[in-house]
Amino acid sequence: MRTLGTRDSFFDFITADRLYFTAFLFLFCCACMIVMIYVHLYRKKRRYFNRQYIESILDEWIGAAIIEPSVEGWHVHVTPELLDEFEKEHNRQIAIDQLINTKKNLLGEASENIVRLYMQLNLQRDSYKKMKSLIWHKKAKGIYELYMMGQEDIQDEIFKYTNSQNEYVRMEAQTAIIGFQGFKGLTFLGPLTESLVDWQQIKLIEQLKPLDPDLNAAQLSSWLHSSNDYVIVFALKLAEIYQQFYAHDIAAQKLSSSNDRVRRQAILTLANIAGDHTAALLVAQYAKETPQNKKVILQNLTSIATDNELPFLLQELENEDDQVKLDVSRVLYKGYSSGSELLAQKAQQSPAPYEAILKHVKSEVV
Amino acid sequence: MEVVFHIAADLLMYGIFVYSVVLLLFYIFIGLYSIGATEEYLHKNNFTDYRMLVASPHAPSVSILAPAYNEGNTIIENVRSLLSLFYANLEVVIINDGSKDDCLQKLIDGYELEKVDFFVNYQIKTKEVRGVYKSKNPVYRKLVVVDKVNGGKADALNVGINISSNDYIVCIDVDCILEQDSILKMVKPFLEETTKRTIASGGVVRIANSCEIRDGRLIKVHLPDNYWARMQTLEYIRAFLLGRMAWARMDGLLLISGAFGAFDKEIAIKAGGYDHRTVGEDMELVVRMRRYMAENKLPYRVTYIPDPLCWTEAPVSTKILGRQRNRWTRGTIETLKFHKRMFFNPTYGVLGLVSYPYWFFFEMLAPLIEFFGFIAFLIMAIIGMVDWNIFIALLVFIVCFGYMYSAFAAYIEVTTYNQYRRRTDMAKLLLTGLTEPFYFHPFGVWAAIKGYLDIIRKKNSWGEMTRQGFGPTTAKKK
Repeated sequence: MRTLGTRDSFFDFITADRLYFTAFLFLFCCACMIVMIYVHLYRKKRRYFNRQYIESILDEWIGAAIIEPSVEGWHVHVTPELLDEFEKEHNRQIAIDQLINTKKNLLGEASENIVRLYMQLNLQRDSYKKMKSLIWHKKAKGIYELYMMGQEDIQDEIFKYTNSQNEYVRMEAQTAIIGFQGFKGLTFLGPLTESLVDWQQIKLIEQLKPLDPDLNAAQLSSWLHSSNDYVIVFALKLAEIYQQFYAHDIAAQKLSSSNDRVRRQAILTLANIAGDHTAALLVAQYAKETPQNKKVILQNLTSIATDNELPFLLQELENEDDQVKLDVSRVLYKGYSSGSELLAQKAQQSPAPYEAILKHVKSEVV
Repeated sequence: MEVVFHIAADLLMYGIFVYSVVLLLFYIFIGLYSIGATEEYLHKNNFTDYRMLVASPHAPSVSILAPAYNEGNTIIENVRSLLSLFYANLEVVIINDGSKDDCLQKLIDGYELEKVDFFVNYQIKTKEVRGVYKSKNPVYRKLVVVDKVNGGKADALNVGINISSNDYIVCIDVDCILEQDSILKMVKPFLEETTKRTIASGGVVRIANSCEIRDGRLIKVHLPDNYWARMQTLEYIRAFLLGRMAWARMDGLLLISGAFGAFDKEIAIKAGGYDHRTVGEDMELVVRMRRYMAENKLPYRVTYIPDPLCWTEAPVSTKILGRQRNRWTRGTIETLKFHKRMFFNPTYGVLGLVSYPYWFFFEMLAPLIEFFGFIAFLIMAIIGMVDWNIFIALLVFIVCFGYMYSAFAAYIEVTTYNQYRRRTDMAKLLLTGLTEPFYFHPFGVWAAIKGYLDIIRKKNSWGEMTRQGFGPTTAKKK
């Protein structure tokens, strides 16, 4: 084998022929990719027309499903030729997508007929197959489809995935269980050891919103004592939103958590289910907190602060951070009848920056 | 003497050879590595329902910061576009950076603004704020307009950070067209953080020239008619869909485009905000935020979204394009100079060992090496030292590699977001790419060299970026 020791040997190694050959390979790859681009575009176009065709058939059936009354055994008349069309996997997927999109916008009987149509075409078989796939995104999609189409009989199987290691599978399974069982479905929080990210928490909260609140006190307490901080944060949010006053003391205990997110949510929850001593509790916590949590405390003191907190607030009004001064001024102005006067006095003593802060706070109220 | 000459020639030859091989390997790696990132993103968002976040009171609060300088012609429409974005917990902060035109007056008249008493907390030092305006009309309650003394884009963005009241900031160019669901998609990575804090998230920027735009909304995508804009379309696909996705996947992203990026405000402030000493303030902020997190040993991540969420008007003349590339070069040099401590520094992990050196050798030095390589080639050609057989073979080799890379980028575009659906559009794009090595690329190198010269002359102006605007004239004539 030759080495690259001298210029001559270098050009022996990098010869024009070799360069042309490699360039030819690049060009060949380039040509292949151009062919692939056009094949892809062609297939996409074909798929588009096929989709139009399948959707036109489905539109007719969906129209019937919406208009006709929902009765057990309702079905559409499907000719064998059309049935053949729905033997193809990609056509079945088009049908599933179309039915899900329709069902999202429907309620009541019409939506029940959409599910019957889904079952009549035996599409649940496809969704189930996907759920059983080893590929995470197929599994998540399968769970999503089964949930959207109300396949409650397999919720036990779906429940197993609520603590899946894959976050997307987990999220879809949790969404499905809440969709099937409402507040009762929150039982998955008990054994949850994986994360429950903010995105999913918001999703679940929005899902629960239209339902009648049905929170079990014992369960909520157990979630608040969970070893999983995500579960604690979510349980604190539930206590805050659904005004679970009995959770006050446990929420107060969470102020000593080592996780600043848990503490932050505990502050928010306590402010919303506040008792006589909550403000004092938050003020006592203030010195131990991160700047972000301090801000949250100040923002939430407005509605719960009493005369006992006034010395603390006046002291913080002298804080060297102008943002703290502004936040404290808001509490004083909005939370105390004498707040405006106190701030005016302060502004007179030290016009900069208190005069501008007072004007700012006043303009917010106007 | 002859020995020294031979040694020097050998060093130069092998040096450039190694440089070129490493560069090509990087390109191949980036191209292949980006596939997984984009694929994963598409799978993850295949059935994500963003609608639930639109009106949720639990969605995080977001402030859009849009600096405006002499944007009087288009400002009303641009702000209307921003106010119509799908997101409830939103504040739109327009920072009038001492415009010399009627930009502010148009905003006051168009949105029924009045000056309000506003205490500006200068957490980041900036030029003076002359006034803060809010609308008397509750329809425009999301809008905040700040009038300040001119101080440049970085200073204007810092004012926006100081004024904004929300936890997350999305910094944009005011003349960009954002997709209606862009904020929803940009916020998601911040809500998905677990052990690592998401400090920034970037979005893909696409070229809007020749697209149909109505009332500040993108109606239909067309390939630009103008050669320079079309060439930039191909360049942006390569850079955003391949480059940044790959860098984000390996957690080494150094640049989030100033046209569209979301940041955790707390970290942005702690890192010191935008640096007005550089014209590459977008890259510099990302590097500094990352440095802040790394030096404080705080786990973090910077994410990137391949969805085409932001559309911008690309320069269509060599004059404006040259200024832009000149500025990009200066921004890169300045940023790398400010953060030279990171160079091959293992403390910064991938950032110090891979990203920074890559940017140093292959982004910052590449135009210099190419330029001096060309000069050397000319001299050698004149004195008859060029082996033309090898030269032509090398030229064919590198040009073919470039074509292959562009075709690959076009293929990824077609199989993922497929914005240019007409077959003729794709053909046009690929044909335009054929001219790149002989026209567009040398122009870019020359503009970068001018950037180097400006750095030497200590010229640090932003350079005026005249735009045609998204009026009816830019829409494709049918």
